[in-house]
Amino acid sequence: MKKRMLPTLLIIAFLICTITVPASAEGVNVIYNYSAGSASTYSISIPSSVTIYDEFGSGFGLNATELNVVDGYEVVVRINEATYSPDGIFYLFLNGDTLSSQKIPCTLIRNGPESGTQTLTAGERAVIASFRGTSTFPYAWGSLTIIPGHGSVSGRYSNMLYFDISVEEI
Amino acid sequence: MTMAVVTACLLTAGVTLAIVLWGVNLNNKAVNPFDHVSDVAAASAENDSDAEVKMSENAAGTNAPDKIIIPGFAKLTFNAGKDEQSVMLHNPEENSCYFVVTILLPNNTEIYQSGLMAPGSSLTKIKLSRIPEPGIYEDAIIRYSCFDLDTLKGLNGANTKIILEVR
Repeated sequence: MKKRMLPTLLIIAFLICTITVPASAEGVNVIYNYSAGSASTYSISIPSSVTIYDEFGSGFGLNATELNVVDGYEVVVRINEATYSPDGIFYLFLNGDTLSSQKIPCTLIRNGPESGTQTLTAGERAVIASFRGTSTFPYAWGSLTIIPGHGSVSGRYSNMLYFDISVEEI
Repeated sequence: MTMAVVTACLLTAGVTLAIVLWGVNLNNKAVNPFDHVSDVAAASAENDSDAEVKMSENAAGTNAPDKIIIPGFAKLTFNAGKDEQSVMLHNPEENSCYFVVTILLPNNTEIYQSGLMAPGSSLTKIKLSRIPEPGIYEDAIIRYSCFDLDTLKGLNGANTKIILEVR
């Protein structure tokens, strides 16, 4: 009898370790925190650089290369607020040196075939392009024009543009 | 009889242990393959003064800027209490720039930064530098900093806002 106790205990211990037994037979509570819009995915195309050749400025369009946005939501693109200087103006700096006093103020203008034209102001967080559904073309706005002002020293001026992209409820 | 049963139990336990350890090893191999170039990215990020809206003294010409495709999604879920997380971050192969991807909480606390990601590369496992507390973080940010493939000069970039759920 004693000889059989050790293997029996070992087998029972092994089974306890390897087999998961439900604590009760009442069922399992399935929890899924669903957030509408969270399934949306997108690929938005931004310019890597923009060169301005004259005082009339230059523009560029924003478009999507892939879009799958849940109904009731849209992908929106804005200018990141850090793009503006503390005084609320977007500057191009001589040789890209953001500490330089030699800088050229610029006007940023959003455009859209059916949305019109509007000058952007820091702090208003205006949408410069929005996309809906699966269309890769902007639903509203869609392009940005940068018009330079005047500086006092000739040279190469530059700065970085940052964009905010998010999925938002319509 | 006793010896046979004990031997069988030990063998089974050994095989189970081996399978578990093998799985852990596989996961470790999937950790960020770009760690070895993160210093280059950091050096570049500090020297991004050149570009990306430029005003030229040259004569007028066409302005057809290169494009950077920014991939995005609305929500990311992390396992609570773990520094290793599964993600799907990639630099589309159509891009002609490196990405450095940074994940930030809404209060701008950085919890992850990749090394340089070449076009066509992706990350499926990452190791967080800080483990966020469980919860739902609205307006967390995945920042895509972009760098020229040849010169590592900084290019325009984007912040994509996401809902980060840690559970």
